Amino acid sequence: MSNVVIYTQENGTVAVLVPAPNCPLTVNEIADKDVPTGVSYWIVDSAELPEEDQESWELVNMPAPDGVGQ
Amino acid sequence: MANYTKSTNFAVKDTLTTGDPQKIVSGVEIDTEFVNISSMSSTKVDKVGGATAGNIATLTAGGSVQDSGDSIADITYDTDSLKTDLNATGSQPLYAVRAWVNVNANEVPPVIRGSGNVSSVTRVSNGRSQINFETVFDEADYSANASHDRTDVSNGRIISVYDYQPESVKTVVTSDAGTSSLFDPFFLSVQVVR
Repeated sequence: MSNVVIYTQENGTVAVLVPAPNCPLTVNEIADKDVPTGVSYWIVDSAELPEEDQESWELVNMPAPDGVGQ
Repeated sequence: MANYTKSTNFAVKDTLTTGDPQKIVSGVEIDTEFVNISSMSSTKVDKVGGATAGNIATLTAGGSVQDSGDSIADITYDTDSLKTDLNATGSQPLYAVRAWVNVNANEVPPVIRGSGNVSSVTRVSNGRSQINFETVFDEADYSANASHDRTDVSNGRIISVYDYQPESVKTVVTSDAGTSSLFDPFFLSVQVVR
């Protein structure tokens, strides 16, 4: 599976960011650029995403974030 | 490609008095000059024997120059030629698509089938996607168009483009029945023209 980026949006819901396959940037570089400034993000395997509706997701007991939006 | 460098100043020998051993032109000095010339010439590219004026010079595998047979005029691409090749008749100017994406937004996470100048697609929530540009725009004054494949006679879908930003733009697909229902299309296409 592929790596995706998840972060909590201003309204409290979780967003899923998918890097474009042909983008030459690394996942971290894309996340730094595309995640809102100052927002922590996590890079996860897409297979690990919950099956429930995205709107019901909450990021709890998460490890240290992989980065912060620049 | 070393240039020829003279090793002996022969002219200065004319100023020396007769009997001065330095006044003699020795075979060693002459030979040194020929060696210098030989070394220099072996590292230079040969001039092409015959060539057509205006043609492009290319290199052989051995490093020599050759006439490619192609005229520089052949690669000159003027605006009119470009418009003709694009079937863009008329005098109207051309503007280009600066970013595009084709994404399956019906999956979580979405699946990007193809894109250009798009670094990522964010599934903001059900029915809402954010297209993030790889190279951002100076301003959000571009024109963005979006389409989707969710069609049926009884309940069409409306796609809207909103939240224009230099670095991203968002889309949302809703029902046209006046409800707030949101949909995730299998084919979400966005093009940005500037």
